[in-house]
Amino acid sequence: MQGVEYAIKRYEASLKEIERLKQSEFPYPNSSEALAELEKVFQKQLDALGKLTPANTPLVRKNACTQSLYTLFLYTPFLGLILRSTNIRNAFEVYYPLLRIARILLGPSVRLILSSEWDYSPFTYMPDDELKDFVLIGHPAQESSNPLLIPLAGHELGHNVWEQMGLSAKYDSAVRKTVVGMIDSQFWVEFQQLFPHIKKGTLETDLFAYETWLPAQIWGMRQLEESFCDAMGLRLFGEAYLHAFAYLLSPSLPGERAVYYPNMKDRVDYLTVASKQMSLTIPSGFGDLFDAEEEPKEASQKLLMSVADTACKKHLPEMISEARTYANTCMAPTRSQSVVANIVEQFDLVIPTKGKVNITDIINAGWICYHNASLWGSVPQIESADKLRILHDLILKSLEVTEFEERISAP
Amino acid sequence: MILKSDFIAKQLREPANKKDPLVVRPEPDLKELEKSGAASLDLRLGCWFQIFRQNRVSYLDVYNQEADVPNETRLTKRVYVPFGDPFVLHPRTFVLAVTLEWIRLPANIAGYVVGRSSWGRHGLIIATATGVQPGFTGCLTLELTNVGEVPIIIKPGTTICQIFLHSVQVADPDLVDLSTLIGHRQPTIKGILLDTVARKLSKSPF
Repeated sequence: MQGVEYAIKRYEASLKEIERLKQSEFPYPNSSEALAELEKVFQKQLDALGKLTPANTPLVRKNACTQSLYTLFLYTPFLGLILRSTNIRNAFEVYYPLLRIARILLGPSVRLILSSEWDYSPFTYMPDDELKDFVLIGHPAQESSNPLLIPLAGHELGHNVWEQMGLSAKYDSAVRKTVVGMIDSQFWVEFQQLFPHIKKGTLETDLFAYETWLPAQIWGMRQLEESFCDAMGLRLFGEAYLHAFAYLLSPSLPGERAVYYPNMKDRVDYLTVASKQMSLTIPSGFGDLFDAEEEPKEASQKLLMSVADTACKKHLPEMISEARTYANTCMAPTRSQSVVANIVEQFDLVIPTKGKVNITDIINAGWICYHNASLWGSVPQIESADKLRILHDLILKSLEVTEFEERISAP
Repeated sequence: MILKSDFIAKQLREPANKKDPLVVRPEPDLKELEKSGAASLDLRLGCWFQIFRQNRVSYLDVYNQEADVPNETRLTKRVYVPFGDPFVLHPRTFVLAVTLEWIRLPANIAGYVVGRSSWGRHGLIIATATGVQPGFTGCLTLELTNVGEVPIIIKPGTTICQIFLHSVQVADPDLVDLSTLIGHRQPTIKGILLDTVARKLSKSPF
């Protein structure tokens, strides 16, 4: 029973920690609600462990301990995310405007946790049944107070929309067909050199053949998902998404590219294509900010990567269309040039916006001001070192004013 | 000359100078303001507070240049209280808060922030007639103290203080007070800067 005792102690320690976390200063209720859900999950595991007796077989006891350990590994990162959502570094004023967009896209029961991570990349955790209805988004800790980067949350919301729409299932067979068809038609010579034992025309029927090209299908699907999410970020936040994307990711990371994303240069090309379709203005010199990433050197990976890339490129128009159609059908806000221009005028006077304004327009105005070298040149009280902080404060105050107006105008 | 509510409402609705307007955001209900007849504008409590970390500082000595003057992060802790949540101000505690409203004053208007007597009579002192200079823009930092005997619950969005606006005689509209902290949405602590006279007097003459 030593193993069971260890497992029980692990859960007692975890529940004690949750009890401590419950005393945090939560800026909004969804974080404490998620904590309560996790408490139930952990308590259920502890109760199950408590029912084990020496009468149970060693195998039963071991399986229960294994399952309980897996649950701990699965949910401990969520505890960290929830705790960091209370950190004062976060731009709390962003929360409700972003929650409103999440609910427009994903339904009125969606709950949002906006947090940070010590990882220099925005991310979303895809919750399982235990945290159903929760959307969990994190930004790099050092940028979590920067409202100009909120458009990247649009990409993360895209992952949740992708799940909700069941796009993996919808495109799985199409991508598979594309991958197989391309190997057969365009890449057969290279494929045959690497896998001489596979006969032409047996790619889908021979189990050994299937294993050779499966990575290309998986990578192609993941690239499509990322492209869909980029299109969603672009649709929700307009040009501000391009600026935020460049701020965080340009020029590119050194070393071999990640298999789940299009090569950075391709990704930027895809963003450019999507921007044109959405009638957005591509910032001058946008493409030049980025470098192509290093392609894999290993022969089979290089080939499969090429196949995945080609499949992604082929289905890209459908991804852009899916993202646009879905957001339009939900009536997600779009960037309005006239409203943005009006907000810029107000920011020029160092005042936040008036009345209800959508987050998309506010952040786009923020980026225009960010790129205006002469901003507040005639305001002697503002030192140039303080400009960015004031711009952040104006954006966040505008979001708070909007939320205030939303609440007082509600019936 | 103190500006009356109807005049303030008119300035907010149609600024005399669109390039240098009087602005209050969120904007008060102008019809109600017009009718109020008051010589001041009510302001609401914002969501940000700053509380002092007494355990991290031994004393404040701005006269001794060698002294370890704590910076804002070491001296204080920021607290965010969302709309609807309470902040409990205990007797004899001092915290900084902020107005919900972002205010912009043109070159020909200055202001004084004072508490509301309804709160004052329960022991909540809001500010000690804080002066707001022409050209200021931002949320106003409030100094809250509970001098009463029982803890007081306050919530963001509550009307907590008022600003009296005065017209200012201006010779040069471009001349502004550069020492004013502007463009903040959170409470801020201003460093205490000694002027030349105070610095000389604080030193030994020999």
